[in-house]
Amino acid sequence: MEHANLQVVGHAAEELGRLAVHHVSYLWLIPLFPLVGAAINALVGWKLQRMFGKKIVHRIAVTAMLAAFAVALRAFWQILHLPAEERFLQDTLWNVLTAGRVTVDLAFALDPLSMMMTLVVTGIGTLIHVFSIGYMADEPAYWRFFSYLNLFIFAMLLLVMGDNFAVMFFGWEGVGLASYLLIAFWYTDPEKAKAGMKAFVANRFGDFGFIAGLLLLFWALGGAWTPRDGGLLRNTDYQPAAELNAVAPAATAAEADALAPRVEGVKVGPTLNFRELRDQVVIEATGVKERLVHTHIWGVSILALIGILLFVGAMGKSAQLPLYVWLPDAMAGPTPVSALIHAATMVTAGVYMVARLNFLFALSPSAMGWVALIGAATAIFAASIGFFQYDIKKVLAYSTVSQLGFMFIGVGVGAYWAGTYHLLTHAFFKATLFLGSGSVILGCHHEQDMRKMGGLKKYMPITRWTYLLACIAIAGFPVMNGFYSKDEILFKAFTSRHLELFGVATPWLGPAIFVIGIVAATGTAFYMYRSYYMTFTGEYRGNSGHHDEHNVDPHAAVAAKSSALSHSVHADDGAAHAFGATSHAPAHGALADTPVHAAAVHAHGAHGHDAGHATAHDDDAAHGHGHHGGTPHESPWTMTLVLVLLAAGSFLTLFLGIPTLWSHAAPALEHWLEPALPAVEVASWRFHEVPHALEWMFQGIGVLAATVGWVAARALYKDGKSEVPARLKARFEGAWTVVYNKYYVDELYAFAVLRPAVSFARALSRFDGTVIDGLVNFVGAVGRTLGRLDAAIDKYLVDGLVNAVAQATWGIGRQMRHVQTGRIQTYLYGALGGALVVVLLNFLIS
Amino acid sequence: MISLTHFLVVGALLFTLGLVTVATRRNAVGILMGVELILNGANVNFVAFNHYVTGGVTGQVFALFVIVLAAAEAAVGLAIVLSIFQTFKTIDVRHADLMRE
Amino acid sequence: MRSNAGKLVAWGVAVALVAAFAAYMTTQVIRPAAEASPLPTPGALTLPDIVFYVLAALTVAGAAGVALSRNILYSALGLLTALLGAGGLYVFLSADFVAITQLLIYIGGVLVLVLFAVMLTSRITDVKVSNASFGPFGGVLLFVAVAPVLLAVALLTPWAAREPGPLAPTTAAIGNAFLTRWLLPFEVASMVLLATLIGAVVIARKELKAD
Repeated sequence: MEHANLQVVGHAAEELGRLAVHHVSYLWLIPLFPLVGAAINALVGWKLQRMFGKKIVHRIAVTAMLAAFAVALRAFWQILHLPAEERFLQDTLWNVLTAGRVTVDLAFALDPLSMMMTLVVTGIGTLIHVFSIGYMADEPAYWRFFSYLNLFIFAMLLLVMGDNFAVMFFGWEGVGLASYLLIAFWYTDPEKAKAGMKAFVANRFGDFGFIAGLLLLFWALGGAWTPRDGGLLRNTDYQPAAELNAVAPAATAAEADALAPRVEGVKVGPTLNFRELRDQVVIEATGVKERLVHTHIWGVSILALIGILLFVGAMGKSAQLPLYVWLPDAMAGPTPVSALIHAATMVTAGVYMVARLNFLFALSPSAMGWVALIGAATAIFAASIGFFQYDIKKVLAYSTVSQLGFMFIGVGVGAYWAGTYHLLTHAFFKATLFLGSGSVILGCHHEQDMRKMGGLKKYMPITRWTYLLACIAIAGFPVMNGFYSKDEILFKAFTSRHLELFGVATPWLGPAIFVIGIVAATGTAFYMYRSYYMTFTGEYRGNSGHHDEHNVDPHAAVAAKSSALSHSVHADDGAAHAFGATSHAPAHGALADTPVHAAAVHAHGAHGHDAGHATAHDDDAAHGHGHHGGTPHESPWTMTLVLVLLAAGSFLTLFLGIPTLWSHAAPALEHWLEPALPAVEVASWRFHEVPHALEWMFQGIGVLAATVGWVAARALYKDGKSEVPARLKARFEGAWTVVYNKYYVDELYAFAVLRPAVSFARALSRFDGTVIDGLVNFVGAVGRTLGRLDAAIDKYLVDGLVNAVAQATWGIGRQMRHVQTGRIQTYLYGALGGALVVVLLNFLIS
Repeated sequence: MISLTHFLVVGALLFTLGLVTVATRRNAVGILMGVELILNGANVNFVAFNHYVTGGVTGQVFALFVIVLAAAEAAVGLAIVLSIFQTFKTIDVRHADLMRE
Repeated sequence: MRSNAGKLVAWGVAVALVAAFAAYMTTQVIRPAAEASPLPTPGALTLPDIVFYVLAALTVAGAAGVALSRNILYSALGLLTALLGAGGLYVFLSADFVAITQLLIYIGGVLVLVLFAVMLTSRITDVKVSNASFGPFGGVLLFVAVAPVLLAVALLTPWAAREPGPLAPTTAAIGNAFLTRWLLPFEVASMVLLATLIGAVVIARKELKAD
């Protein structure tokens, strides 16, 4: 029996060594270029745009991206020519802080994993920048948009390339900020601003977990490393506690480095540096692994706790249950943003982080079990919501959540390369899909409701074909890349027997996740093809009865309903509503380019977006496509070119993941990532071995699932002719409503989280109003009474005394003035008399 | 032989007579004369003590200061007397009692 | 009525006080002291002794004239005599400079000033009225009260007297003293004189202007 999936076994026998580091000095350029681009556009963009037009703005931004991409390619070229074990580029700029033996540098590092991510971020980022040129052509705050985009890329590059947790966390928060800015880009619309806030707050929940996990890890590595507990450490000569007491704290990074305790030449102890962390965990001789594995806190394995807390951070950033709610709302942002942030890059940060720390997660089957379980649950849950959404971007958003779930299944079961591979393939096909939807939305005059589309294949052929290819990819047909990553993930899930939950071995969890995954994959195929057929086949359904229908639009109904419950809850519906409500009355074509048009748009109770369009119309006559015309149209070449490139990428990346089963060699990406993913070598578990026949069967199952989904969608939605969907909807009205309203999760959150929070706030307010104010008022009243008392004392006692003294003085003076005769001799007699008395006394006494 | 006591007796008599003058005169100028007598009595004492007890010139210097101040006092006092006279048309000190009560 | 009664009481108290004082001094201080250290027996009268006694008598007589004369003009003449006598006494005390100063300032300055004041403020014919005293009784009382004390102190105190040096001119020594040890008081005295000068002018002129 061949062990095709166990290529790594051979390596495991070898002792893993330290990472060889190649110091280079140009990595900092990669994040620098976007930062400079962002800074230029942010500071003087508005002026440049006014002086030279919008071209200068996007040229700056795209040039920055191209430069970053070029440097990234240079790094890739260098890394490619290094031996596999030495593929680690590092570039330390300067020391940020040194505390004790811990140093934090502003440093960038590229290993195969971050190299791949960097290429994805800069490459796809560049394409999306180019796409935005066409998509945002009518935006007055063009410079702001591109500034944000560059800022986002900068932050994402920090996240990906950071050599330590500090830089990564800076990027982690930076993408959160950029995401907030971009989601709320049209901030004049309260719904969109709310969506931005929602994303920010949901991410805060996650970040809390991330930080907590980080601190816990730091704590676990620190402390007294004495070998007292039955020899947890083999190297008894290591006594850092005594060392700490004996040696003064380091002042510089070099000193700190020299101070750091070493076992077998490897730095151990608390660190923020990924490489140092990796070395001390991976190299068995340090004993750090044993210690971590055997450390428990409150009876829970500390590794599991660290893993789960870090995964909470990933949940927020990568939109997993239960923190996924912000991602669908994030569709309020411009579509390129949705593509860039909420499909291709930022949301993969969680997956990247788990893959980055694979050697930690691999040590804790419990954490892995939770990651995989949450991923699977998210995959099926989000897929099911995607079934009945009408907003094309919403479909894609839930699809993204679902696909992220797949990625977490991958990294959760230990197939780190597979999860990462899915991240890569997803970046391509989901970017294609999102940008395709952007193209459709632009072509249909900012209409997002698929029921108002249809038949677009004859208007926008390029968009249609690229969208179809991406659908094939995501559905999982072997001709595109999605199949290879998804199949690998599900296969690895099935063959994993090592997952645990609550420290209890659950060998059934892997196969169970496989089943869930297959169902989710079927669903994925179904709703993606559904969106394709609804959008591109049949007759064009736009341009008619638009406004009449609008009021019975379920969106509106849901929006109204949820707004009664909570403000923040209906942010997503409201956002869609906002898009749906954009005024595309037939009159638009006739009235275009006249002031009346602008007035009409405003009169429709329009939002920032509409207003933006109206003004853009007025001051930017140079936009190349009159998309206010009545019929859909293909997008400008900058957009279609990007679509074609991305679709091509979706195809080409399949060659990175040709399974061993076919080629009898490890997939290219697995081989590439292997140095960065020592997880399997670290861990004690191995994937279960299965016969080849079973592998073929699983691949067949995967294709079958995709086919089922496709056929069902084709039957129900092709050309919009079938009556079945409507009948099904009528038949299962209740279930449909529940799913359509996303299982009322937002409402649940409103009920379970927001309402208690608001009630609590109200209670606090009441407490403040009654008790605190009462106390304050009481104190005030006491003070006033005391004041009155004091005034009375002052008036009657003190004043009386003073007056008495004054009157006494006056009275005495009145009597005494008789003495003042005005005769000088009288005074003389007085003085002499006194002198006489004194003399007399003097003699008497002496 | 003339001793210190002789001079002290003269000084004491001068002082006492000056005091009596000051005490009994109604005429402001007369009062001033009494003051001069008192100062002279003091001066005699100063110079006598200087001569018989301390030696040197300190006592004489004091006597000179007293003379200087006496001259000044006389000048100011007589100016005041003139002023009083112009105000009250008399220099009887009993009448210069505007400040009384 | 009341003021008369008050005056009567005041006088009564004063007389009683002075009488008690005189009696006490006589019985308790003067007589025991006199017995303890009797006055030195006077030796033969030399010429300087005679001159001293003459000058002393002149001085005391002048002072008595100032105190007792009813005429302000005679008072001024008495003052002249007293000052002259005192100046003469200074010579006996080896204080030639002080004696000359006494002559120049007191007699040449102060006394002339006083005479001017007398002339300016009173008609000559009216001098009697203007020099009316409070009455002899008070003066006598005062004399009785003060003189014994001072005389007793002067006569009975065992002064730490030494043998006086020979009479010598002191002008140079006084000049040195003024410009070295007593420089500051000397300057202050000059300031006082300046202030006096200005003050006297201001006081005298002010009322003239008011007229």
